[in-house]
Amino acid sequence: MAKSAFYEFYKGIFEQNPVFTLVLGLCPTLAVTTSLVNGFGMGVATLFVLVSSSLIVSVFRKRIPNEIRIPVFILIIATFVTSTDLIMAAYSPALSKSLGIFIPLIVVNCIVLGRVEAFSAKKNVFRSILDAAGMGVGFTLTLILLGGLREVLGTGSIIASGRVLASLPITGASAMIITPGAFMTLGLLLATSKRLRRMLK
Amino acid sequence: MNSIKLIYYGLVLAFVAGLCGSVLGYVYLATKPRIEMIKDEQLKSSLELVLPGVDGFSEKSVKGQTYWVGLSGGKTRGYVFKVESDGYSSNIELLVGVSPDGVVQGVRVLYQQETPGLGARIEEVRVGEESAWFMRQFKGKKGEQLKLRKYGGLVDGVTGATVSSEAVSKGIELKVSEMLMVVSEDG
Repeated sequence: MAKSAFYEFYKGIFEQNPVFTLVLGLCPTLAVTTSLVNGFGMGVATLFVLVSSSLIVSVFRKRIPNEIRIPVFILIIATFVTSTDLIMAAYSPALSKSLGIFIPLIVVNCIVLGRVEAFSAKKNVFRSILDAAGMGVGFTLTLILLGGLREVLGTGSIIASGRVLASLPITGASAMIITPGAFMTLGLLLATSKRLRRMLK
Repeated sequence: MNSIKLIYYGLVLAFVAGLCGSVLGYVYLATKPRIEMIKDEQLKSSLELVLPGVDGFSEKSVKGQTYWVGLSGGKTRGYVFKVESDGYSSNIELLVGVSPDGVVQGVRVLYQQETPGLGARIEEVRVGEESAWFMRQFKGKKGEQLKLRKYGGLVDGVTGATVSSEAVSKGIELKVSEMLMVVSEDG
């Protein structure tokens, strides 16, 4: 029954990856992954909110009355999200400009409320933080993968803070950058991860 | 659920909300000076980019429109106007610097959320260049010349992004002619 603490962390990266297996948080996943940097920024912001909310919720999990736990969780999550938004605007204006509206929308990201409700509200602080960190890292890696693929196929190269990280000898297909590209890439990645999982079994 | 419990839950929620509100208030106050500083800096560096070679700017406001007068040695060397134009997927905001006779000196995008890879290419900087080629075209042009080529002007649109290109060129042309009139009335 008691799984190793390490398992709580790494399960979020592949085995229970929030995007590929739980299929949660698709709105930001599809919308912000137009480039690797955007995916990374969104992932890290979500990771921060996830870990901080899980910490607070699991510390106070016995004090929060069961009947009103959802509004209390949302309040806690919203506080961290708005703080992240403000801090990002103050210390990383470029990133805050390109992520724009999607930061406030972390409040309604199902991954955060989902993990808080399903995990942190029931487990101890240590495990909650590991679970949140694992889910956050899994989400970030997924967004980086998706953003990187779309950027390289859509523009022919990956650019991060003014430097070219990778490039292909192709002319980008701008369809990859816009919405249809997001759905196609996500669909193919979902299928690939399903296949990989079946092979590993 | 009895009423005592109901009041208790209400109080708990109010307490949590108050606590969260205080935390947010603190973060807001702590980050406010920096956010405003960044905004000011961005505006100032944008003003210098669209109207280079002046000593300073003074902000003016006429009929609810804010504009900046570029001054050198007490003389008016040009104006900077803010342009807002409906693009394809966003409200494009620009700063345009013009000389007193209406020749555009520089254009800079303050905000746009156009389609990446298409409309967003209005801000595209070619490899090895420092500024966006589309925006650079407006420099040195005035009046009708600011229109896109297909409307008889001298500006090349961005391929596949007619709506965004038109929004920019039309926005600049209209704003400049409108504001030059306002400014001359204002003296």
